[in-house]
Amino acid sequence: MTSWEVFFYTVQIFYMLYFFGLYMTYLLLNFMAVVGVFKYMNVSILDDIPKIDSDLEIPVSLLVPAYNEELTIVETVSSLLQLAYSKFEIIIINDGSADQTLALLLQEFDMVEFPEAYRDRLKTKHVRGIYISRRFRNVKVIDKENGGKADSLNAGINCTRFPLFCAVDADSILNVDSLERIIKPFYDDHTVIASGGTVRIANGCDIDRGYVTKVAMPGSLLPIIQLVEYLRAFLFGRLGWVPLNALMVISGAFGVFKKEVVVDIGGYLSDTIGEDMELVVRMHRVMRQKGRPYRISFIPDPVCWTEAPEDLASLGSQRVRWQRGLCESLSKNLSLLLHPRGGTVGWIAFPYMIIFEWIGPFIELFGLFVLALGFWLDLLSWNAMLLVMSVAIGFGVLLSTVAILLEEMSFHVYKKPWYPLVLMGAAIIENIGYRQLNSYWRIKGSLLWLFGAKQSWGKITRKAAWKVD
Amino acid sequence: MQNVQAYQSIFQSSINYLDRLAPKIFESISLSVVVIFLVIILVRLRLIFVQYHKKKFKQRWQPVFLASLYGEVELEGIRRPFAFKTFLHEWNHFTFKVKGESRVGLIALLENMNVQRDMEKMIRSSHVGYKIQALITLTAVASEKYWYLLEEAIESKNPHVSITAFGAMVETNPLRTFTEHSRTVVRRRDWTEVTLGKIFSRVIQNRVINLFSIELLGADDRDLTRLLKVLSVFRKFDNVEFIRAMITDRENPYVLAGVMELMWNPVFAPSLRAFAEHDNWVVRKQAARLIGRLGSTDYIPSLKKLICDSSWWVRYRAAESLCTLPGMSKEQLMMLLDEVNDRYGKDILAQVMVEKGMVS
Repeated sequence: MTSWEVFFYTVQIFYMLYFFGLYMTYLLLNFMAVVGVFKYMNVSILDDIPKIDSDLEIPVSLLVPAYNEELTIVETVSSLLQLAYSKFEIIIINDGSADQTLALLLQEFDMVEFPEAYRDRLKTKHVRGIYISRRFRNVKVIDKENGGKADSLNAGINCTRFPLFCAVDADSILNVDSLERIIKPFYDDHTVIASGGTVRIANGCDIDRGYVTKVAMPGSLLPIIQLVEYLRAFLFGRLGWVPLNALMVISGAFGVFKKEVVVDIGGYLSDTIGEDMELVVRMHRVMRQKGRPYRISFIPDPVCWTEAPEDLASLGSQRVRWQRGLCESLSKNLSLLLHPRGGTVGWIAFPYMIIFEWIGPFIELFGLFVLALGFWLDLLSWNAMLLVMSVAIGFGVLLSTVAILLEEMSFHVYKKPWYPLVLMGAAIIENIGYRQLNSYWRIKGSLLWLFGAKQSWGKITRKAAWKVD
Repeated sequence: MQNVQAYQSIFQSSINYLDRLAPKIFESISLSVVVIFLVIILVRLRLIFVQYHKKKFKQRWQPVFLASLYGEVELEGIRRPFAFKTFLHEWNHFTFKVKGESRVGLIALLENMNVQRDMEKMIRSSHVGYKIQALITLTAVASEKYWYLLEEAIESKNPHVSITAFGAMVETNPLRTFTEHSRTVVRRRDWTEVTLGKIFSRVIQNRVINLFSIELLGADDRDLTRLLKVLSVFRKFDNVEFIRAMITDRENPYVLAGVMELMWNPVFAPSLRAFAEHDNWVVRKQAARLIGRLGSTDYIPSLKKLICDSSWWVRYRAAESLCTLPGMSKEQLMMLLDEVNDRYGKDILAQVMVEKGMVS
């Protein structure tokens, strides 16, 4: 055996073990997600009983950070006002927008300056003024100097009245009952400190007055592939971790948190890009290290719709930002890794995130390089190379197929008869080019994090087609 | 040298093994994908069939349901549908849209189908969805004939099943439910307060709620904190002895705050002074709120003190009470605003005055 052969075969065994570990974790998550969805669907029949308010519902403050959102902000707030929930307030935080966001809000909702006894519990950039609507007494606007999304959310938290707050992106589209559904875990279990819900892609859907009225497939390939990706990520990647109480991400687009816990741990970190993930990981770390009982929950219902990027440049910038967020979240909370009190998060989810999500793209890239090298040195035949690639692709397709099946058996959001075929097609096509591009963006994100490039609000080009119509 | 050779041979055999294994893995993955895809197609076809069937079912049964509302149905001519669970689902939907006597005809229609055995089967099955569906039906039927089934279901370990059974019991006979199951409510910590509150809000008899409050006298602080909230849903609660016993015997601030939520009677006004000076902010907040609710003008000095409290919520509630107390004019409040030296007290009073529309 030559030294090249030893190197090549050692690498081969390493990769076999790596992929075995990855796929076994995926299978385990799949299994737990399937059980979770069916349990959830069993009790969903209770929705048949007419809804009455008991006056014991926990009031919620909706926080909407807005930066240059003149295109959608009025419609977003109008739709939030129609949410079916007994008691909530809406706080829009204008983060020093350079466009007409503030002016539009003041005009459309008949806002007047309000002498709020502002509690400075979390440090933020200077708050220039607080306004209240004369038409809707539960709508407020905080006008502050630009400080980023996390800083805006912290200012919003300072201004909230209620024990729970819900972070909503200004371009998120919710269902009328989204808030009611996402709050349920807080009723069922007093130790729940955060709750998230499934986000779906709004491209192609009919939207009227801020609500999805008809669900349809996007018109182009890129959002369809993202649709499959979202199905996989939310039904397995998130729901699967819930029984282990190891969910590490709650989407910034729509998530509910216990205010006192968030204030206790210092609020959102304003020097991060992935402030949503960082907050959840920090919640885990602090609660675990202090030995406090807690749960972070997730509901499989599609409660939030968001517009997916339709061009590669926007998609790339979004994925780079997500990867940087992941790197920051993990590196800032590294003490949770294998911590004696870390539990399932510290011993399973955190190592998984580091190995497969953080350094995973580098390992995959190196694997491709070694495959090419082996082929070039004649250590690997065409057949063997194809086989390795096929197994990797095949497993990806298998995971997507299970996600599509689960969607069909549970929520069945995409109703047209040919939609499953379209989704299956996308599940296969995404392996050719898209997955590799994703790995490239993730590597780029990790490198940008490593070399400390400047952060920003990370805007993507949105069409807001429903608004234009 | 021998070690190197042994290493090489183990290495080689493991590589050979993996090489043989890889095609098999690929084959099984491919097969799984094909099978799952076929299942997806089957699920989709089934769904199309179910939707068509439901539509037909609705067309067949909606006129019958409507006619039952007015007692215009010849019950003898109606047969039990084959898809009984679908029927039950539709029946539940329809029945919950109507109230009181309008349900009589619908219940007669259901009873005519000898549903007792179906209810037994569904409640005793292991399928949580079926159990809940049957219990929803029994909530609408509200007949003591099925009490034994509700008794079985209330003992279920699944909180959704047991609390739905409790709700059905309350709908059927509140007095009997609270006589027999007040202890169960205290014991079942897995029942959510919101759902209990919804059930309690349907109870209208003082006597029934008093039965429950007697059970609460023996509960521990943790259960009391949870259940006093539920009791507060019942706005007519006026058991002065119960409240007196609670504020005398209990020291837990959360229990005290919960009891104060039940105080609507002015006889409790004298006890507010101690609460307004309590060490715990939760009690002070509730005291500040209660002063406003009971309209006790004697406590204006206490409120003036409370608007400068260290807790934002105490300050806020005290300011709210000051603004709503009888006899507090806008001018008096403006004077008070000038008098207050504390910055936080001034801010909160100014805020609440704007909120209450006293100044623009």
